[in-house]
Amino acid sequence: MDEPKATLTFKLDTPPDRRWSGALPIEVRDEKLVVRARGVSDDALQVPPGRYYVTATLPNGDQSTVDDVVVVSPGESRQLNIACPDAAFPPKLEATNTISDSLWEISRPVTQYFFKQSFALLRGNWLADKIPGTVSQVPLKREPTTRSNLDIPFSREAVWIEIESSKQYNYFAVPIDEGGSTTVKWSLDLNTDKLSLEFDFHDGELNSLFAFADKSKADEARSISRTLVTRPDYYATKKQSPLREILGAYVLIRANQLEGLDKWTSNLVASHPWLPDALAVRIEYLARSGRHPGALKLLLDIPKSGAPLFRSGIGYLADRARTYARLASQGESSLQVSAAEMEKLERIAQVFGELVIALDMTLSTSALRHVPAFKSG
Amino acid sequence: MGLVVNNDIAGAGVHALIVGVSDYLNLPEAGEPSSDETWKLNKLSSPALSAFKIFDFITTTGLRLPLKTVRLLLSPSPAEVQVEPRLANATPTRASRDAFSKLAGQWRKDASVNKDDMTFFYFAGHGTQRGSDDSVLMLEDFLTSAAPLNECFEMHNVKSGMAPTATRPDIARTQFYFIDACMDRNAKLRTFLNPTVPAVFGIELSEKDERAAPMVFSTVDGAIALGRSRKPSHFSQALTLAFERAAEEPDPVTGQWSVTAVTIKNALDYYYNKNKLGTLVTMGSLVGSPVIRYLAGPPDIDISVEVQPEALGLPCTIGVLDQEKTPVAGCNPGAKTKFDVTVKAGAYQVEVNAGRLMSNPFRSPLRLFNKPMLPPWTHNLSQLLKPAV
Repeated sequence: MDEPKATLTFKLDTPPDRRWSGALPIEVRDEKLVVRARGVSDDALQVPPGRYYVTATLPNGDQSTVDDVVVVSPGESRQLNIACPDAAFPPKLEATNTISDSLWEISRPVTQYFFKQSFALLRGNWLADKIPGTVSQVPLKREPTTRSNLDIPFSREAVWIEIESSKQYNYFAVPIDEGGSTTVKWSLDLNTDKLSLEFDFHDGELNSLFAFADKSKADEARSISRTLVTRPDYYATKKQSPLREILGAYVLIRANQLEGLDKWTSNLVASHPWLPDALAVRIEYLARSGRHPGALKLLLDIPKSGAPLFRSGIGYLADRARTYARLASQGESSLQVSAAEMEKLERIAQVFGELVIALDMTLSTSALRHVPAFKSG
Repeated sequence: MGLVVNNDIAGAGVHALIVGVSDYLNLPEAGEPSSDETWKLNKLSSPALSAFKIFDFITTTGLRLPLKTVRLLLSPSPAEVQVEPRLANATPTRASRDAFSKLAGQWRKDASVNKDDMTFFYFAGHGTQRGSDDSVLMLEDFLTSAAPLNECFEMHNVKSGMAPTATRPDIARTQFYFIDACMDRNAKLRTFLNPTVPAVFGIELSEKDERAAPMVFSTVDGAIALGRSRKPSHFSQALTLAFERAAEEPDPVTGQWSVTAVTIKNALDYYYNKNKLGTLVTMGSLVGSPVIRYLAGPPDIDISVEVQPEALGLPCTIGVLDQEKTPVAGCNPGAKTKFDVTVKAGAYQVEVNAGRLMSNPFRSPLRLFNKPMLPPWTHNLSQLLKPAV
């Protein structure tokens, strides 16, 4: 008869009031370095009795290890302390609001002509304007600013920042969680044309998951995402976060680990219709599953929803739109569309084809470089 | 034509398509001025060497499955042939668009017989970015015809054409794609209205797509390809190193260490950061966790050790011990407080004997190393030193 397993729980000594917090991915390896358990630090892991090395990984890739070998007996429950270095945790982002910022804002109508860059905050669905026949939408609102960092509260309208420099326009999305706010800081280097962005979603767990995905820590991001998606009991203990749900879906879709995503992506669309990425991940999930008619039907709704806030979403939609437009025009029997829908599909394929060429590949959120100015109301 | 390896193997195997284009027929020589007419591009002197290096690796060291077919197209520059004479006769087929189309079609056909087969695709040459999982890649006769992209192909088309469909239900489910090209968003391309690239494959609607098909791009968004004149590129160098070492955990049953798409990406990132190449490798498509090869035992891991403060008092010896408390062979830093050492993946501790330590020796807790890390493994012994006299 097998010996009863030991249960490991974890106490992370993370510095308070930093941008990252919450669950970190954990690996438990035996002395031959075989991974015997993998999970997240606010969950319990079970292992056979024995000797183990236990590691937590931070979003920047640094590893924190439990000092020395951990020895557990049959049926034992042990809490392990894992110290995490202060220096590895970035501080929270705060929007600055100095007197000089206020003065610049007041003088902006005149001074904007002397700056090499100008900024504006855009609210609304700019994609609708590019696809004729999209049902009436609120005109895109444009609010010029001289600031290069903002704290933006949630509203159901998508937020993008415009950066104009020498008549060239750049736009990047600002994802904001429902009921929350996002602090964003940006800079565009005039010499290298490099766009740098920093986000703080004011949710340590969301910031951590975003950082893992953004820094291509695939195993770690998958570990967290898989736990979220396949363990409803675990996610029920968490603050509900549509952005975290979307990120989890993107990570697993990228990994082509689709278990649990039918219900997950369907719920995303039903519960968060304000989030364009919900539709994007649902479409990609359906297409991967070979359910192309359903994917196509939803794809035709994309103009109403808007452009995804995460780069992968734009890439997926461009890919599927191009394929469906080509096959539908060739008379593919399972992609039955009316003439009006065909025209719309071709326009969606064309627009997203232009968007992918403009995507900034150094960023995981959507950023479009050197594109025509978005028309505002 | 171009089929340089053709083994009759029962069971699963690898079908490889490797392309290296340096000698672009319609572009000026490297170093000469390039005009708007030639898209500001020049001939290259690294891609054919890079592709050959990869070909060499998979045919000598091997992958986790035996090679069934290898198709090789090379358009080497004279300079590369001087450096590597085997390039002259490695393949009878130069990398024209026509040859690529024919060989790609044969490659797909061969790969459509056994789901357990693996495909391996590598391209080195000029390319321009077109989306997160897509690029337009240029073959040797680029700019021969009036239509600007006629002698190019799209990775999106290749990837889509390799999906499982009703007519190809048994296509290989494990597919590796490596693209070693400058991803500069070419200004000339933007001047054309909706330029089209001729398809290599006809596309059908896919069935349920369970592929593991990672696509790794050597560089990203406007960065210049990391080619080195008359040498294999940094990407091909980093990739072969990754094939040799990039495994992070052993299989619980066989004890073999798996080199996967994710561990390859981690190793490439480490190489790029360590060598300060100033750009990123990107991995997209249906990544999954496919295994490309196995290592028989734990891989070599490069680690940097730092002991602080520098003034530890004489005599002073610093060393690294494994989990059996045995000193790591060949690691003799003496009194050096900063040093690099290569160890097998495992658990290690630093041992310090120093004149100023209150108690000798100092031994750090055991720490696990299963992948290379850039920040040094740092030990601050300030609190353990006798007060300075």
